[in-house]
Amino acid sequence: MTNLSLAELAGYMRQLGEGALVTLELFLTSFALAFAFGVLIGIATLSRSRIVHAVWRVYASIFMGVPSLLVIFLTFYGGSAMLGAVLGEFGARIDISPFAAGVIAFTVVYAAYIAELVRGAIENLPKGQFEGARALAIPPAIMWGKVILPQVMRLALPGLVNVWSFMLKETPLVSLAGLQDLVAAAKIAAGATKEPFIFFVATALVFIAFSALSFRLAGRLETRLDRGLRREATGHPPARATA
Amino acid sequence: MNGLPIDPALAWGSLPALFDGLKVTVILTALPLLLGLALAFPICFARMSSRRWLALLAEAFVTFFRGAPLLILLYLVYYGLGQIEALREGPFWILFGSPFGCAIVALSLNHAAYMVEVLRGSLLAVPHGIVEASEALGITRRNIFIWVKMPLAIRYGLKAYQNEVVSFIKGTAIVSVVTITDLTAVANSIFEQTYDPFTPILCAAAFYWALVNLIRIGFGLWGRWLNRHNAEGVAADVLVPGRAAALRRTSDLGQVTP
Amino acid sequence: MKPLHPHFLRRPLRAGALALSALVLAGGLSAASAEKLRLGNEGVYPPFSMVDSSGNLTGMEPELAREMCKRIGADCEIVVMDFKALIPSMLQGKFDGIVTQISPTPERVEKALFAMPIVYNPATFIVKKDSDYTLTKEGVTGKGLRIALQRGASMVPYIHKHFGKDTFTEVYYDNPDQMKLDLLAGRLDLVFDSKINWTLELIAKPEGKDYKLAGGDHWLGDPSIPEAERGYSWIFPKKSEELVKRVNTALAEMIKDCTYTKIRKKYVPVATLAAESACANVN
Repeated sequence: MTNLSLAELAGYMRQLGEGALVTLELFLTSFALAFAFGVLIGIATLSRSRIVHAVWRVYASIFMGVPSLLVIFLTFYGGSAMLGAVLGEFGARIDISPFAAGVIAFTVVYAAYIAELVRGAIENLPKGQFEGARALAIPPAIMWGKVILPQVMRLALPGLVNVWSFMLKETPLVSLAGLQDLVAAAKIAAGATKEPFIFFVATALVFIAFSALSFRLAGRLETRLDRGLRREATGHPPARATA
Repeated sequence: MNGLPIDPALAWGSLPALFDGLKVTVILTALPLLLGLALAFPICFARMSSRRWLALLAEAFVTFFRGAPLLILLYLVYYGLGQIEALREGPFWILFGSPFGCAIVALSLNHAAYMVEVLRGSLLAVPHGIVEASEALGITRRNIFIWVKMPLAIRYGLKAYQNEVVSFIKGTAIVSVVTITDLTAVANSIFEQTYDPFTPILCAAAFYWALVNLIRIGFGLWGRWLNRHNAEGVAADVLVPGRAAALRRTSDLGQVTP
Repeated sequence: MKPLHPHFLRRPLRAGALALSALVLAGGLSAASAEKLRLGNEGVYPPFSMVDSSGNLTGMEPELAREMCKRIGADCEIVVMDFKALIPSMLQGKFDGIVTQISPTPERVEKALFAMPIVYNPATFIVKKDSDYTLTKEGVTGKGLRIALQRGASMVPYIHKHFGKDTFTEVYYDNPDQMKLDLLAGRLDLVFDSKINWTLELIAKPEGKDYKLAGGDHWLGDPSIPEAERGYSWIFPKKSEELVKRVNTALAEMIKDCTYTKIRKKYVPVATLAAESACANVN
C-alpha cells in the first residue's frame, strides 16, 4: 500500500532534517547550560554550610526522583505563572516557548546529575593537589581553572559521557510539549503519508548515528585528557577496578 | 496566582484516578523489568561469545535498542508495526493489537539492551583468579557461573542495576503516546479538562518521587544484605556502565584515581 | 504576507551562547495592540487543517485565518500544536487566539471569548458496517467496546455525561490521524469525533468502505444555545474583547461576500454554515 511519491518522500525527509537541527540545537544548548550550572553547583556543595547541604540534597532528590517529562510540562504550562509569582506582572507576561521549556527543564534536571559527578570527582582528588596549590600561593581562580578542574574533568568524563547520551535520548520528550523537532516532524510525516514505519526508523537511525559519533569523540577526548598520565597499555576494562 | 498554586479540593478529588494511573505505571514497570532481564541473559552471553557473528548480532541489538529513544521505539512498535498487513493477519496481533502489548514489547527490548551492558560489566568485573581457582577445584562451568560468578557479579553490578531501574521507571512516563493511561496520562487528562497544570502534575510528580525512593530504599537494603559478611564500608562497587552512571557515588570514581 | 510555515523551518542553528538569550526572550511579550498576532492551530485536522509535504500549513481554517488577518490588518503567525495543548497554552498567554474550531462548552465559555461560529460540525460515531448495536447507553453497555476520543476535546466530557465513565473502554489520541490508523489496524471498535472530517477523510475514501456513520448528530456545546446559533468558533483570551469585535466583523464580511464559501469549497464539498446559503453557486 505504498503510494508515496519520491518527491513527497524527499519533502518529508527534508522536514525531518530541519527537525533534527532543532533537536540538536536543543540538546547542545541544554547540555552546555547543564554542564556550566552542574560544575558551579558541584563546587558550591563542597561548602561546609549545613544550609547549602540541605538545599542541595532536597534539590538533587526532587529532580533525580521525578520524570523529566513532568518537569518539562510544568515549565511549559506553568512557567509563566511561576515567573509571575516571582517577578510580578512583568514575569507573568514572559511567554515560555517549548524550546525554552525544554532547555530550562533539562538544565535543572541534568545540572543535578553533573553536580553529583563533579562533587564525587573533586572529593576523590588527593588533598595534596589543593595543599600544593595553596603552598605555591596560586590564586584560587587559577588553582580551580588550571589545576583542579582539568583533573576533575578527567575523572568525571565517563560519567559525563553517560549523562550526554542519556540526555540525548530524552530530548524527543520536548516534542510532547509542542516543539517542532525531529520527532514531531516524523509524527506529522507518518500521519500524513500513513507510512509510519519508514519515518520512525529513519528517526531512530538519526539518534543512533549521533550517539555513535559522540562516543567516538568522547574516546578521543578521553585520550587527550589522559595525556598527562599514560596508563599501562592495558586500557581500562572494568575488571581493573576490583580490589 | 497567589501562594502555592495547588487546589486541595482538585488534588483530593483526583486521588482515585491518580492511584489507578499509578497501578498502570507499576505494572508497566514490573513486567518489562522481568522480561527484559530474562532477555538480557542470552543476549549478554551472545555478546561475550567468541563466535564473531553471534557477538556482532548481539552488539547490533544493543546499539539499536539503547541508541533509539524510548519514545521512538514506542511509536515504531505501535504505529510502525501496526501498519504491516501480514502482522495484522497473523497470530502476534493479539500482542501488537493492544497498546499494552506494544508498550511491554518496546519497554522490555529497551530495558534488555541496557541490562546486557550492566550484566556484561558486572561479569567482567569478577576477578579472573577466582574463576581459575574454581576451575582448578574441578567445579563444572555451569556451577562456576551459578555459584561463583553470578553472586559476585550481582554485588558488583547492584548500583548500576539500581540506577537502571530508577531511570526505567521515570522513562515509562511517556507511554501515554500509545494511548495508555498511566500516572502521567491521568495527570495530563485532569489538566486538559480543568486547565490547571500545577495540581495534577505536582501530585503525579510526588507519586513518582515516592515510588523511586521506595525502590532506592529497597535496593539499599538488598545491598546491605548482600554485603552482610563484609566489613562496614567495603561495599563492592565497580565501574559498571549503566543508563545514568552519574548516579554512581564517589566510591567507583575512586577506582579510576591514579 | 509572510508564509505561515511552522516556525521551526525558519530557525537557524544557533550557537549555544546565543540560545541563552533566546531562552529568556523566546516568545517575548505579547502586546495587546494586536499589530502582531500569534494564533494557535491544530495542524492535524484534515480537511480543516493540515501540514503538506513541504511544511506549509494548509486547510480551510488556516486559509480563513489568513484572510481574516488581512482584513483586520494584523500580521499573524500561526503556530501548530496538538489540540489538547491549544486552550491551556492560550490561557497561559502563549497565543493571542486559537483558529481551530472549538465547541462552546460552559467550562470553556467561562475561560475564553468565543468569536462568531465559523463551522457547524457536529460529532457522530464511526463504526464498522457490520456492527449491530444501537448507540444508546443501554445498547452499548457490557459490550466492552473500545472507543477513540481526542485528548482535551469536548467529546470526552460529553461521553462521560451521556454514556457514563465506564460504559466504553476509552482510548485517548492526540489527533484524528492516529485514530484513523488504529481504527484501520483493528485496534478500535468505534470513534466519536467530528462528522465532516470523518465523512471526507474516511467514509468517502476507498479504505473506509467497511465503515459507516452511526448514532446521529451530537451537539457538544452548551445545550442552552438555541439551535439556529449553534456552531464551533475560534476563541480568544477574555481580555481581547476589542479584537473579537474586529474578528467578528471580518468574518461576517467574508461570509457575506462569499470569500468564506470560496475558501470552504477548496477543502469541503458540503456547506459548513447555514449563513453561507446565499453563496451556493459561487466557485
